[in-house]
Amino acid sequence: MIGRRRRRVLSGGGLVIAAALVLAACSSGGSGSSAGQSTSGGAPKAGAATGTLTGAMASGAIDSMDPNRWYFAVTWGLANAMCTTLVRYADQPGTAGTQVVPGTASLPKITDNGLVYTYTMRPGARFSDGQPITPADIKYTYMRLMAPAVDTGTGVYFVNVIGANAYMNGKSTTVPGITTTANTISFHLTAPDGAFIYKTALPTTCPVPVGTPMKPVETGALEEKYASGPFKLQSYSPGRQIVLAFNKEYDQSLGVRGHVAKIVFTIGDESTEAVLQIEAGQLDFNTSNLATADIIKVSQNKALQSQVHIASRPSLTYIFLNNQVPPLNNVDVRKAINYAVNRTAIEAQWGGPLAGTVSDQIIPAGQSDYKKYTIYPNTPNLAKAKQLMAASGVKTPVTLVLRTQNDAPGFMNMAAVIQSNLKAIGINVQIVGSPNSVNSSFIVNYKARVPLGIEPWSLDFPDGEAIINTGLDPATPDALANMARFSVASFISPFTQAAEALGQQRVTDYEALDQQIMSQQAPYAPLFNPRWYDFVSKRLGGYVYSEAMDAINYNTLYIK
Amino acid sequence: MRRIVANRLLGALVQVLVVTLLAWLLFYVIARFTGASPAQRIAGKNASAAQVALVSRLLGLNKPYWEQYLIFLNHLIHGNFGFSYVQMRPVSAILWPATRATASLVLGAAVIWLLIAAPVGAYGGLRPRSVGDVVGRAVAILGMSIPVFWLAPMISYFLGYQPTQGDLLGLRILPVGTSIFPINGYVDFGQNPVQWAYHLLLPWITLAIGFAAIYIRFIRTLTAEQLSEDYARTAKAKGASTLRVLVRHVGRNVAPTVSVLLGADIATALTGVFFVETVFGIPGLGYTGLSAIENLDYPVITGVIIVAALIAVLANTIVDLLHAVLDPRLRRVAATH
Repeated sequence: MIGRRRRRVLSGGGLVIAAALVLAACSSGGSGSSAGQSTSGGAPKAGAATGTLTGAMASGAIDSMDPNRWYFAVTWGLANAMCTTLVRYADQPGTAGTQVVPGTASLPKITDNGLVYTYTMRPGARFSDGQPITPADIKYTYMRLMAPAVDTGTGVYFVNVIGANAYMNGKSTTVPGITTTANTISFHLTAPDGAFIYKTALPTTCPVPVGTPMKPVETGALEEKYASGPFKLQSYSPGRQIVLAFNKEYDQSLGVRGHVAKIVFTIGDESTEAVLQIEAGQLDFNTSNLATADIIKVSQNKALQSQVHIASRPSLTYIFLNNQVPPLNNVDVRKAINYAVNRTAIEAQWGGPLAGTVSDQIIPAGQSDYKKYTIYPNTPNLAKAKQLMAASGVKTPVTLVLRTQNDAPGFMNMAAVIQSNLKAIGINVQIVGSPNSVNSSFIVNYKARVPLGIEPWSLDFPDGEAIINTGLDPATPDALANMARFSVASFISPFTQAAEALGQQRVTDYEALDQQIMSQQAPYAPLFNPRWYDFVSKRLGGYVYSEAMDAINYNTLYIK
Repeated sequence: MRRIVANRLLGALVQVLVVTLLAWLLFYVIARFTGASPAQRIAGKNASAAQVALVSRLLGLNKPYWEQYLIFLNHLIHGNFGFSYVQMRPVSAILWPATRATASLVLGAAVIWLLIAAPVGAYGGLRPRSVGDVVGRAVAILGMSIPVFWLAPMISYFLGYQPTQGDLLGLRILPVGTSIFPINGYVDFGQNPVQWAYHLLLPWITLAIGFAAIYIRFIRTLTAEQLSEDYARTAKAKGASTLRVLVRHVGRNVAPTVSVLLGADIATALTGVFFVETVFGIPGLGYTGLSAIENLDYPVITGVIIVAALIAVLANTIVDLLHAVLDPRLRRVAATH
């Protein structure tokens, strides 16, 4: 993968606005009244799609409208509504929503010791123009998403497919590892891949028909004509508005989904303004996480609590410690940092216990392969940290640069706490803040040799591989995502073994690997797992936060 | 008059050339010395080598600098601001709606601040140190002191949100669910003119308050000065009514100066309405520019800078010409040179 999934929280300008509005809100005594727009109550009837919901999203929330290119969490939420992939995630809250269920195909038959995945297409799978989705379309879709002219990074997840590597490098025009029959599609792998089924549920595998241009199509035309989910794109005005309409061609036998006739998204709403609109009954939901100030506001107002939904995010915020930059190439220094940082105080800058849970582990809490362990403390153990610094033989004081984004709240404040923490063990931290886009271009570039950085990471699929192998693969220390430049050779085999494992063995392997990495090498200083807050209108029913998509599941929403 | 127009248009042309040259230098020449390839920047972080090469060829980045600038200028003349590889559409398709939205906001606000400032300022000049004048000045000082980044969310909160909760300015006097103004949002004029005005009313007021305060003081001072001139005293001595003196005599002398200030302020406001656009969700130029900066969308950043500069040049040119129309002395000076 190339980038990290991200969701905009609040822009810099929003900080001022949020602060002002919270002041105003406090002075009003938090009068919370109903939106008063409820219609008839009760759950929707199967296949009945009535009414219009309104949503808001921040500017810049849409990274791409090409169904094989989108990557941001907000566009994955849209993808979940407009696409049905070979397999998909269950429309359930919590970890139940990370279970894979049949999509346009039934669950795959895995043969040849995990080297062949065969999917049988289900009757009823068709595009919104009424044409059936064929195995040839699926093959073309995978070829398109891996094509260098289209791919934005998720194509690399299929590097195990025979011939995919050569195809992605432009050395071949075919991928012999993908074969089709009249109603099946098979993927032949070079090595077992225990997460392969999750990868075939990635939103970038959204089906497109044979003949779709092998170049980005950002107008939304593909989702208008070739949607395969319960919704299709009715209109897209970049920077202004997105309208989804119920897709009448979607066969409800693929899963009863889609209960409103239309969802109208306004692009460019500030999170705090959106909260006021929701409270006033002028908006149904917002695609951005609530700002901390709004979390406090809505959490303290009893009249609003029924409209607030909280979920664990499949995400970790951590400090990467560049293993190639002295003195961070010394494992004792990395461990000392893990003992010296005050995770509780750092997380408080993010919003405190309401907004997240402190963690010293790599795999986020709530994932199936997460197992609680405690190696490093939440508050500093300076004696231990100083002992490790002394054992490292590193002469202090030493100065290191810490890069972080400065266009979202909390990051610069977290950096200041880290700076204070590490000074106690002789590390002078020089903070360099820049907008996320600028910051990202530095930290992913191994040539930049960025020593330290604070990064939020959301998993692309609900599996340890999506954070451990993707972010720390010791075989590829120069990879964009391996910001710690982790390259300990003895870990290559355990990484490969865990990635190839299936079932319970896989869960056990990742649980163990997480602990081994942190106890033996500490390439990260994990900080916390953020929580997701949604505030929705009173009339909105069927709310489900999809942990797999890191977004609201629009397919379950209905108007009460 | 023709000479004035010709001189001013020539001046505007020079200004435009300078602005475009500076923008071009910034993004295509100076950036190169920092080690950044303009083609890579324009094509985006995820562009392949082939895409970067294509961009380089399309923009003529392998040609001498002077030729590159001429190509750049030629594209601008034909309304081609380049292509956003982040949004995958022409920059002009992004800038045009954004310019319309910002222009709607600023021009509407200008009408409001003039409607407030002209009578209040004129009254202050006519009756200095009266109760009305003192109140007017106090309000003006208050208006000038309130930063727009605070005022915008406050107006949205108290006039947009609170009525929906049954409150008006903190008083519980409305039925819950009353909607006087939308909290935010924008409707294009072409889509629905009534909704356009309805959605822009609060943003107009927000933007107008600060400027109205400045104009109240400005018009008050100018009016007081003009009223003490011989021609005004003569008019009064000849029995002209106060209103006639103000409108027919003083107004004619105040208007050219105010129009110059107005041109400069409209240009300033057009390029500095970011907070109002952000709070009220208006997809204008400031908003578009910020979004482009966040996404490192260089062609859009360049486009916003150029459009903003062009608007400033245009506004000042129009105002200068208007000044010449309103003030016959300028025409006489031009004729004698």
